[in-house]
Amino acid sequence: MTAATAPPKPRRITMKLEVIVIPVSDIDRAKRFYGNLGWRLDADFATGDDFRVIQFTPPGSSCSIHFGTARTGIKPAVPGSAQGLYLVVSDIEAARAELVDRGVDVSEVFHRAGREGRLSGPDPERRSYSSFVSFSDPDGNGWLVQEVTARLPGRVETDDTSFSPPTERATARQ
Amino acid sequence: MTTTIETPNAPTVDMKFEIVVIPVSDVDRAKRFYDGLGWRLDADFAAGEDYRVIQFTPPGSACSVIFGKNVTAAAPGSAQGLYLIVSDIEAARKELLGRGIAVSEAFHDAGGVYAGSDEPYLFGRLRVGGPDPDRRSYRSYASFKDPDGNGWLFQEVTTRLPGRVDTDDTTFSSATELAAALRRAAAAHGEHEKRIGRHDEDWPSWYAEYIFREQTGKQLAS
Repeated sequence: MTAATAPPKPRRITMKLEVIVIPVSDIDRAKRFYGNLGWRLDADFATGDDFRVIQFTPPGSSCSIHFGTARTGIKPAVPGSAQGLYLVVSDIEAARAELVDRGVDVSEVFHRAGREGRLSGPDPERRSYSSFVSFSDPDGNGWLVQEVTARLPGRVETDDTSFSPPTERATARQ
Repeated sequence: MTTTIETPNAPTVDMKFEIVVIPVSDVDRAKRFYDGLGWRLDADFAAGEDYRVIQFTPPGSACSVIFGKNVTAAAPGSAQGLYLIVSDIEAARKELLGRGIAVSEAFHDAGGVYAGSDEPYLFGRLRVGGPDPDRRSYRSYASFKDPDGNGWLFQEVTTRLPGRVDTDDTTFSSATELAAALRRAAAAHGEHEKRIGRHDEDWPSWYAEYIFREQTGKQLAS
């Protein structure tokens, strides 16, 4: 064995943005809304009458939302004040069709051109990051659905090490 | 406390929650702050004098933040309840302190008492100093703020709850994270060897099984 090589400098600590709290006024109504979107209900924790938290995760997403009993302390967030929550999809028309099927009041597909605000229809060249639809939850929290096909350089972590467990899957089938 | 896992009317289209807009008053100050955290600067895009958007991504994260000029009408500092998941709360605190960023002590909840004037977090408003005594997954926190007061929470997650992961894939975004998972597996394996009363020749298989189960929300081997 040759002389030891210095181990590579460890990368900084991983910190994954995985949950955003959104303010809602009626928990059960919000639960029905996000459940109807087909999002995964991860948890509905309740302790007594004054504490409840619900977690939903959009399909394929690594980031989730929390909402629950108003307990936002000194400066309570106003229900519906969460704006600028982006959902990334690979096909804006398919995503819109799915939302329409589920009875969600979703905008037409739009794109932007310079400072002109929203223009109707997908981006004419269907460029990645350029076509949108929007919808709101019953409290008015605002979601934007954005079509991303090709990722911009530098936007993906390339040094992940992933393992898939074939044995787990074999076991599950038994 | 109960846990419900349901997937009603399974969706057909992936919708990945990837960006949250956070409101800041001074774009350059915020840019220095998030850059100082060591986050990845994905974009700094300006159009004219009155439009600018900056995107940062925390290390290993699939979700990013955006801030800038005329990107949101929300009051600066009003974003609260932004959870950063880490595998070691003390290591995460140390990293921030090393970067000169003020971060709270690690804290946990007192169980069932939700009162007090602290900023709320997942378990309510009462914070007890120190990590969770049993170091249970999801139970240890620390908090920090950006210069506008937007509130971030570190939450330590080591073992995932069942149903919280879509695939059986196990992913490590750095050698540090993989090493920490190996250390946890080694500690559990030590207990396993005590129980069986002998050296386990096939420890690599045991480690692998333990790590897969831990990361994919399955019952842990014991």
